[in-house]
Amino acid sequence: MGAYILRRLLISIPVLLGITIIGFVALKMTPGDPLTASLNPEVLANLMSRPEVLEAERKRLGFDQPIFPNQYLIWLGKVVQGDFGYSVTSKRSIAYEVGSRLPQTLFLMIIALTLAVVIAIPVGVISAVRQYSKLDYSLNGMAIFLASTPVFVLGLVFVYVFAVNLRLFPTSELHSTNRHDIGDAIWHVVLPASVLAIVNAAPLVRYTRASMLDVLSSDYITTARAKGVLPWLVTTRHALRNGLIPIITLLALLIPESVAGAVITEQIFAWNGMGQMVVKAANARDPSLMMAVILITGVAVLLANLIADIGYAMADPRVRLDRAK
Amino acid sequence: MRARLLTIATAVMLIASACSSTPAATTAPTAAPTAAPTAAPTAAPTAAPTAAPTAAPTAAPTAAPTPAARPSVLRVARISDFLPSIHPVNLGTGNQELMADITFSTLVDVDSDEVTILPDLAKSWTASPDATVYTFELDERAVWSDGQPVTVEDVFFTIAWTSWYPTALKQFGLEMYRNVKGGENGSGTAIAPGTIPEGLKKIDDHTIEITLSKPDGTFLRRLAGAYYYIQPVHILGELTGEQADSCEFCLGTAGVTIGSGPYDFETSISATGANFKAKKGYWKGKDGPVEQIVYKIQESNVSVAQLKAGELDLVIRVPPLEGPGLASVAGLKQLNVPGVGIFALNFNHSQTDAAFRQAIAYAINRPEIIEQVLGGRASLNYGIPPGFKLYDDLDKYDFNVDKAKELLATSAFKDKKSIELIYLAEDPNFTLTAPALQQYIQENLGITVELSAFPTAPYVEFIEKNNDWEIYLSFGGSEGVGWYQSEIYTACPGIGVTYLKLDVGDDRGECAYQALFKEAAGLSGEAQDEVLHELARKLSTNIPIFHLWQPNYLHVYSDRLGGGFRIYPNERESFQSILDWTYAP
Repeated sequence: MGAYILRRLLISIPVLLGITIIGFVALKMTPGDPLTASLNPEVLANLMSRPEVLEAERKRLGFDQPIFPNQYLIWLGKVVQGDFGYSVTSKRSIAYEVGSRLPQTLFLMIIALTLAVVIAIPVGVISAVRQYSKLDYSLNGMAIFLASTPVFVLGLVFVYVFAVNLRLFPTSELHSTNRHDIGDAIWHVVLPASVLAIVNAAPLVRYTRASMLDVLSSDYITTARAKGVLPWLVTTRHALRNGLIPIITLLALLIPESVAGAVITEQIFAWNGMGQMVVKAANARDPSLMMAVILITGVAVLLANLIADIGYAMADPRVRLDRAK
Repeated sequence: MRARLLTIATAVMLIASACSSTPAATTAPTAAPTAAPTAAPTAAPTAAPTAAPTAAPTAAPTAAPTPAARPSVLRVARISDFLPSIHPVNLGTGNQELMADITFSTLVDVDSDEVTILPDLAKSWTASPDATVYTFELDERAVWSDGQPVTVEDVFFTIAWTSWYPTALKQFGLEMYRNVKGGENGSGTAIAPGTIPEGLKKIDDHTIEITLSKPDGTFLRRLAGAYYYIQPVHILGELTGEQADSCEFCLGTAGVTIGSGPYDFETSISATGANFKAKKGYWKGKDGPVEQIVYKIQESNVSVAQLKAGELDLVIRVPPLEGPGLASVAGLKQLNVPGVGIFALNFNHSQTDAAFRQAIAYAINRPEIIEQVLGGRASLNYGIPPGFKLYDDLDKYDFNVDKAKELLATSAFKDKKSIELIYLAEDPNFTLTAPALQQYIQENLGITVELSAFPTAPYVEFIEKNNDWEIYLSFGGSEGVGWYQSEIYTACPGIGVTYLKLDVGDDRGECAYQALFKEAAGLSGEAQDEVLHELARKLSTNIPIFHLWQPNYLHVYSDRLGGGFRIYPNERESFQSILDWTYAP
């Protein structure tokens, strides 16, 4: 297992380089000058009369050099040393920008994904075990309904029902004024995490049900039942483990999303996380910030895939990670 | 087991990390021309300061006893425009100006009529009749947050710095400081850092005399603008132009950025705002109405929800359509203020001529758009900037299809079969009105109007770098404050907003509009009115920019706010009167 992880990590390096090269070049080739795009039109207008100021700034930022490899290598060299650069719009370091937002996003998304899994897998299993029952139809119908509800609708409904009308939870943000404790943060995360959990749980329920139905009709399940294994043991020990494989795949796809942030949910709940940062970075053509997002998302994708592979082996003993000797 | 422990530990760290305050900000090491999200538009009063107000009230407010039990927090929100900078070279958004107003002081303030000048750092002032010499007597009680007195040297430094580093200025407004005699004076040549221009004279320890190289009757009124706040020479004395973009003081950093206003930064400026704490025993003898101001920069839908849930006390600029929904919320009051930002059609002069522009102006039924599309929540403009008087002989461009067609027939661009109307995709104001404008132009002039909605970055890029666009719809500006605020939009290329690609020359030669603006600024009374009339005629006839209407602004506030609480027509100046506000527990 250890060798496998090491090998995967080593393979990840060129993949990551590839991702950053493509991302870097693509960003640079998009229309718009990151320098002028970051300026207020009025400010820019004033500066246009002083092209030497703009030119000097372009030179200082290295924007006058060939994109590849020069600008890329400059960027990479700094990243390797832990210097992700500075946001051209906020003037703060990328480490500060990301560091102040990533924890909030992870806090929200980890809770949301955990809730989603905790809700979805039992519901999916029950739905599969009680196939074609009234319960199955209800759960399935609910899952389809929620899966087809846009997240902003659900978010707004939650805000207006639970925060504005019932005042059970705050409408938005991570903390109440002058509160910084975990209890307050958990109180604040309930609504956004619930919305995200529901949105993510809906497809998970469908996947779990389909996967479990597939497994439950397998010969080895019939054999287990024939041998007199208790029904709940057949479901949980024999069927569920195999049924988890597609769920793990789906979760591996959701993890990178969680790092990049849930843009709409963060907007509705004024959650100062990565999602909002990504939108602002894209609008402002903030190259360093965008590259940081690409890098972080790339790492998350690779790690999620690695975790998924390990998960496959844990769920299904037939999956061997190390090469056959 | 170890793996589980590790997982639990990681989760705990994540939660703790998420709940902790933001990490210490690291600022960019060197300067960069910074963003300044588009200026939030301002308001309404049309009265322009005539030349040089003379004597001013001498008395500063006397000491008032601090209430025994003050309510602690005022939670304020404003729409989302963001620039994490507080240095004047980068001030441009309403949020920055509001923050600057409570943390810094200007020589003078303005009252909510947007005309009456009030004391701030200067407790009295005089102006010469020709509007070239101004004297200010500083309030000897004024101190910085670190206890250092505010001195004449602070004022000299603040003014002289703009001539030392003129290329650092991103704000057109600051150019006024460079008009000081012996200053940079728009020459483009900086004076040596450390040199005090000859126009700055110390009369005594608390009195200064400022002599301008050209008369400027708008000087006092403009001095009340947040970006003219006085800076501490003992902290920023060595600041260079490059550093002004990114120094810690300049970015609004708690504990570093200090001013002489009634509040200090409690948290550094971030994308979501900043917190401010009131100074105890503020030098004006009266403390701020609350101990803490939580200033949030956020989307209006979030603010509306927070208002309804009782999580906010004041929201500046709520979307007017939310008014009816908020009217029934207990404890909230509304202020519907006519006119703020200006909706305007901006024409590329190389793609249009005056007749073509006039034809378009006549072809649009503005009152109907205001009524049908904007629900009556806007004030009609008549082509010229609303800061100007509506002189009788000016064309009001009342809807007239026949005249529109006649004018089009005389235009050199009469054969245009289609035009492109550009606007910002993100702003709902545009998405409502652009199709209405399209319909009127198409139906009444037979010109196909292609609507092009751009996101911000490509929008700026496109207009700046290309000359093949024809018209774009804009919203913003501060023309409503006074006629002098429009100068920037019609100024000479290289000084003002060059992206308009205006033809600024006429029978008066190059830079005709700007020359008239400058001339008017140096005059008063009838002589000034005459020049302004000529300028208005030119703007009305040539319509370099066609001012359509000023949408109303809706401000919603808690009924606990009282005393002298008021939101100025130019809402970004409202905090200038915050010491008069009260906040009931």
